[in-house]
Order: sequence, then structure tokens, then C-alpha cells
Amino acid sequence: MSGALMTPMSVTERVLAVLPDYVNGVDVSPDGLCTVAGSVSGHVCIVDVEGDVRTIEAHDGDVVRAKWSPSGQFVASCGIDGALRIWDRTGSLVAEAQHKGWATDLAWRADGDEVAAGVGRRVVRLLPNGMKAVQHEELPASVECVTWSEDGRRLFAGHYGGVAVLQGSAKPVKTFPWKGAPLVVAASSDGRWVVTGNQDASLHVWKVANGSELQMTGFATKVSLIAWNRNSLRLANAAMNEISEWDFSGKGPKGSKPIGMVGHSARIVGLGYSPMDDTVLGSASTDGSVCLWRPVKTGSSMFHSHHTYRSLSAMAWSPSVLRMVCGTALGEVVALDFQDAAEGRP
Amino acid sequence: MSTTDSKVPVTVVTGFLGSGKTTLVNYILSENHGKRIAVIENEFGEVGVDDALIIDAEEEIFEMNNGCICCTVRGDLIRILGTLMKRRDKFDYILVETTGLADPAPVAQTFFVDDEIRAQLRLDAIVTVVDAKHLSMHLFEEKADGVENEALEQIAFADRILLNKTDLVSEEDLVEVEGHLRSINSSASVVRTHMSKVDLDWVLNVGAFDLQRVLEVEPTFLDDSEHLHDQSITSVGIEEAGQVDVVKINDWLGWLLGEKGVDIFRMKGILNVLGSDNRFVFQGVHMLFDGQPDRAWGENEDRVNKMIFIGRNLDRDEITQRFRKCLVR
Repeated sequence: MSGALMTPMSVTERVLAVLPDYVNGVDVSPDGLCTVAGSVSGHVCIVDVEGDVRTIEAHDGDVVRAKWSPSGQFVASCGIDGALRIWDRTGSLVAEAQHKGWATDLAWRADGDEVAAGVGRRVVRLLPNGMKAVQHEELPASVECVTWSEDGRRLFAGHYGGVAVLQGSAKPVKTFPWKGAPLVVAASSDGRWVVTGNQDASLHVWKVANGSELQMTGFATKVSLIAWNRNSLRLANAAMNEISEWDFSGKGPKGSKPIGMVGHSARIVGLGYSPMDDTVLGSASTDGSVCLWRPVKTGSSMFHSHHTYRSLSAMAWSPSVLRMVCGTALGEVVALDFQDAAEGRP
Repeated sequence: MSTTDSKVPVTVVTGFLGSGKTTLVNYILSENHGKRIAVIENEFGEVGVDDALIIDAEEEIFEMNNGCICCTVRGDLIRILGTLMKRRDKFDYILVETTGLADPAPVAQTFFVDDEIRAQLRLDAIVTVVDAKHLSMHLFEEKADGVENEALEQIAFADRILLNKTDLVSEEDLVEVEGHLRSINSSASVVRTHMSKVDLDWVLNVGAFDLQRVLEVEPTFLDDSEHLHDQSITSVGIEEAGQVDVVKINDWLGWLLGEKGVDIFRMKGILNVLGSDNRFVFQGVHMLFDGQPDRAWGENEDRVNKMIFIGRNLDRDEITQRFRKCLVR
């Protein structure tokens, strides 16, 4: 198979909201109709179906993440003030937890409205309905990233020294030790793999069943973004301006070479497979460009690129249409709609 | 043209508890007019000025294994500096005040290892505040095997040393302390201060890690005989005329970083390479090395190789002998 041809596409750009400063995180609601964004100014904004913007003074200092719950009823945010908060769609505070240290990451359970965040050395869990969540003890180092297993039974928390596996008890039920500093963690939807992107320019892979591990090195810089496709047969990662895609089918990526993708000229800040079309990988960069890829082993994987002329800072896909929502360094929240130019023709 | 100018400078202030670090930070903040300064501190230091942003953080050291290079970095600094760089109203200057017991190596290495930090910030200088009255006590403090003497290391890493609390010590003792400081670190400039009061130009925007300013301050080279007894941390200076062979000097540097990198805290140097009319300049922190061709040698300039190595258990003869083998005879 030769490379994909550049596809002529029309891209419509719309500014949904403007926050006072750098957007640290964006997310689109599960129904695809609403958007949330968090800024280093401490604000979270919720853009509703009508396009109306509700801005909340959510945190004292930077908002680190802001994400929709799977039900679409709630938004969770966390910040460097050490707080984890749940808001309803109108921006009213529903629940909160406060701990010592900075929050670094948050993740909703896929199968229910429970959120977990890394705050200082602790994984903090919070429920919107006033129910008491499981309390976890401090881990040996600051938690840098958290994610749930697809079935919602396990939590994986990356910290310097490895990945802690948490369930219903205060202490981790298991630890995958490794002498390194994970920055991002992602579990495959089939429950087989846990992968971290790391400060020391590597990817680390564990088989959940037996803890056996793989290390991929040779990246130019730290690996700050990773993304699974829906059936977990492929994993993409970004380091600086380069994307790699690994084949996790069969026995996994051991000994295999990744597909390399270079289209951006500066650091990539958003990476993910489109939930609408799983064969499409999207990326966004501080250089202002967004790229669409269909990874192929030989030839060019890129089939479209678009320049926004804004320094992008975050990216999320819409679940239902080929739409990206991006945050910018200046605080804008921008929706990009991609449409096949041929189809768009009257 | 260098890209240095667009990067925000960072000064690291180290020194033992009670030496006057916080006094220096407060002095800089109060003397400075018009600059937006962020202060990152690791212990509760009572820094307090309205305009400055003060961030407290718990020291967190990451060991990194990047291929053949091992080094330590500060996870807390990576996190905080990453946040500071995102803000729209950028800071003009960042001060990092370490704890009295902090190892300066991970702090310095953070600025060379993390690519995002490297792109936007530059480590300007390491400023160490020394208590003139209590220095000798800290230097000669008996440590168990394998335990670092942080007072020594903080001096060894310094680009600028404030010899503080001079009012509490006699002139005779001051001269002796200055001798100790020079024997540990012969390339740092030392100034006597009272209440950490110092000309701000002397501590800010020094450019100590700027390759183009390597060895701008002439190191004072001492004989072995002038060194303190039983002192494991010293400076080794090499000053040799002649041209070096580029292949041999690469091997020599490889040997130095590989075999001695753990023990070398800081190094700086200017080389006269055969076949080049330009100076070759380098500097390094442990195994992290940075070197490049620099400006052309001046017409009346002596083409002399000059280097300074500051570290633990350095064998002056071994380093010098091996270097001499790189000279083209």
C-alpha cells in the first residue's frame, strides 16, 4: 500500500469561547454538543448546545484538566490549588475534595460518574452524588498521571518509580515498578496493556496479567502524549514534533518498528484517534497546525493538514462528527470542522 | 546572534541554612524595580514582596537514565517551570531558592535535560551564599562514608559566592576562608557582603552558562600544595599552549565524561583546535556536555588551551597527562 493522497477538505473554524489565558485542557461532551475548557487563569468555561458560554472561577491558580463525565451530566476540573471539583452543566458546584500539593491529571470512570485525580502524592476519588468515595493512601512520589481500566475496576497512577494499581482498598493492590518518571499513562480497552510516556524520552509497556515489560527508547524528547485506538490494536505517541504509531495486535509491539509521522514543525500538544472514524489520527501543535493521518508503513501517512495561525495548546475530538476542539496559548477555544471537499460540493 | 536573549534567565540561590539566602532573595526583590520576578522556594523562607509570585514546592529528585548518560533532575522544578512558562504575562526573571541541604546538581541539570524548559529558559548562574563565621565548621564536618558534604558541593557548583556575615569575623579569618573557597572552586568570583547586600549586576544576568562567556572570569590556578588537607573536592586547572588534534581531543572528552563525569561537578574550557581559526568552547555539569566553535582567535591573542574542572577526587596528573597527549607536537 502506498501513502494516502492528500485529501482536499474544507475546514471551518469557529471560536467558541475566549478565556483570559493559556488553555490547559479541552473536552467535548459525549453527545458532541457541549465543550469544556480550563485555563491557567483559573477559569473553566462550559459552552452549551446554543453556543452560550458559562465561565466559572473554578480554581485558585492554573486549571490543569477539565473533562466531561461519561453521562454528560457533569464536568470535573482540577488545579494547582490541590482541589478536585465536580460541576453540573450550568456551572454549579456539585462536589469537591481538597488535598495538599498540585493536581496533575484527572480521569472519569468509563462506566459511571466517578472521577479520580492525582493530587500531590495521592490519588483522590470523588463522586457527584454525595456518596463517600474510596480513600487511597499516599504513594511514594507525586502522582503525575491517572487512568481507569475500561471496566472501571482498576485505577492506574503513574509516579516517579512506576505505576500503582489501585482498587477498593487504601493501598495499591499491585505496583509495576520501574526507575523512571512517567508523564502520561493509558490502559488498553481490552485490559491487556498499560503504557506510560516518560520524561526520559521513552515509552514503557506492561502486560497487566503478568507484569512483563517492554521499553521503547530513541525518541528525541520526553514522550508527553499517548493515545490508543478504540480496539487497542494501535497506540500512537508524540515526542516534540514527531508521532510514532505502534502495532499492538497479536503478541504486541516487541521488536517491531513504529510508523513515524512528521508534519508539525514544533511541539505537539494534542493527539488522538477520531471516535467517529477510528482510522483517523489527529494531532495539533504549538506551530498552529493540525494534521490528520492514516498511518501507513510506506509513503506518507498524512492526508490533510490545516493551519490555524494560532499557537495551539490542547486538543480533543468530538465523538460524533469529524470535529476537533482546540485550546490556544492566548485562551481561545476553537472548533475545527473537517469536511470532504468533494462531498461538500453542491 | 544567539537566542539567549529571548529566554527567561534563572538564578539558583544555594547556601546553608542561616547563611543569608532568603535575605539575598528579599534584597533582590526589594532593590529590583520594574522586573516581574517569580521565586520558587523549597523551604518556608518568609520571602515576601507584593509584586513577586512565590511558589513553595517539595523537593523531588528524579534519577534519569538516558542511554549512556545518567543524571538527576528535579521533578518539582519541571512541573513548576512548565506552569510558569504558559502564562501570558511572562516573568522577566526566575529565582530558585534551594534548601540548605540541597544538592545543586539536579537543579542545574533540569535546565539541560528537559526540552521544553531548555527552549524557553536559561540557567543564568548558581549563586552560593556562605556564612563566613560558620563555614569552616561545615567544611570540616565529619560525614559518614557515602554521605555528601552539601556545604562543599554548593561551593563547588557556584559561579558567584557571597561571603556573608563578614562583620562577625576578623580580617585574618576572612582571608583564610577566602583561601578555602578558592581551593575548592577557583573559577567562582567571591565578594564579601554584609546582610547579603550586593550589586544586583553581580548576581543577576551573569551568563555563567553562556558558552560565549566561558572563562570570562580568569580562574586562579593553585598548586597542589595550596590545597587543604583531606579535601576531596577541588579545582583542577589546565593551561597549555599548542594545538590539539580534533580526534584525540574528542576521545579525551569521551574518557573524561564517561570515567570522571560522576565526579566532575562543573567544567569549562577553551580549546585551540588544529586546523581551526576559531576558539572551541565548552562547559558541562557532570555528564551533560555542551560545546561549539566560538569566535575567531584575535590577532594578538595567545592561542592557549584553558580549562577548569571542579569535582571530587580528581587526579590532576592523570587529567593533565592525558590532555597533553592530545597536543600536536
